[in-house]
Amino acid sequence: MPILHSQFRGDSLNSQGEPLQVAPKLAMQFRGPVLQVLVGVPDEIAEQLIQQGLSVPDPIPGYGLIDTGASNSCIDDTTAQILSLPVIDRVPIATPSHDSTLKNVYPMQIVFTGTQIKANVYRAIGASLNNQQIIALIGRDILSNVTLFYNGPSGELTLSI
Amino acid sequence: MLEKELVFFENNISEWLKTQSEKYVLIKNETVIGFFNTDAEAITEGVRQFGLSSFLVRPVIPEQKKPDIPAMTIGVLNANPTQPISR
Repeated sequence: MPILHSQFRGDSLNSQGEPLQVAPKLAMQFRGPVLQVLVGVPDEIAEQLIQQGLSVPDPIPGYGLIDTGASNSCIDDTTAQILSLPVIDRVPIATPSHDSTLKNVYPMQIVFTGTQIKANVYRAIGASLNNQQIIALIGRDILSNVTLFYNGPSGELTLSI
Repeated sequence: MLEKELVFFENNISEWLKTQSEKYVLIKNETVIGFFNTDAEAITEGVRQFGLSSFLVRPVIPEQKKPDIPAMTIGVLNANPTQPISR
């Protein structure tokens, strides 16, 4: 059973400007439950591209933020464009300024770096995530297939499938 | 993007619900390419025929499920980028 276990760490400066290690508990609290991921094209699409003699875009590394509040996973729009992912739908998303804004939907694959845990997500919502330093939001469509253990006191995150 | 496909879908969904309920429809422009058992099958066929250009894949169900992403709704994540997202 593939398991991903991660303990957070962070560096800061004290009042004298000296390096200071942040406790894992606080590092995870402030950074959020992020994991290193590779975002790429789903296996079926990659196979189809190979059959057509086309090159498969290399997966893009970055951080994925686990969001148990999100029904669907999201992909950074710029990342989706770099990967040349096809837009397969447009769906309304409520925003602070609009009742609903149409957002692109893309198929994507997420691989949790250093593990064999991967998920093909056929309806990932496009969003501008770059300014959050993440390339994907890991929603309940992925989480419905994994066990997630958020250990706040020790600043540890465990994901297994 | 996908404007033609979305209008075509809305104009025909009631008819498809009678015979293709719960399937996934693949549409390009105003043409139904086919109905499939899974979204993965529909997308794969779309890529086979149209490469990485856009096409519409939707489940044939009475009401489309609306994604619920509170981080966007309350503005923690920016759902309205300053740059246009299209290709």
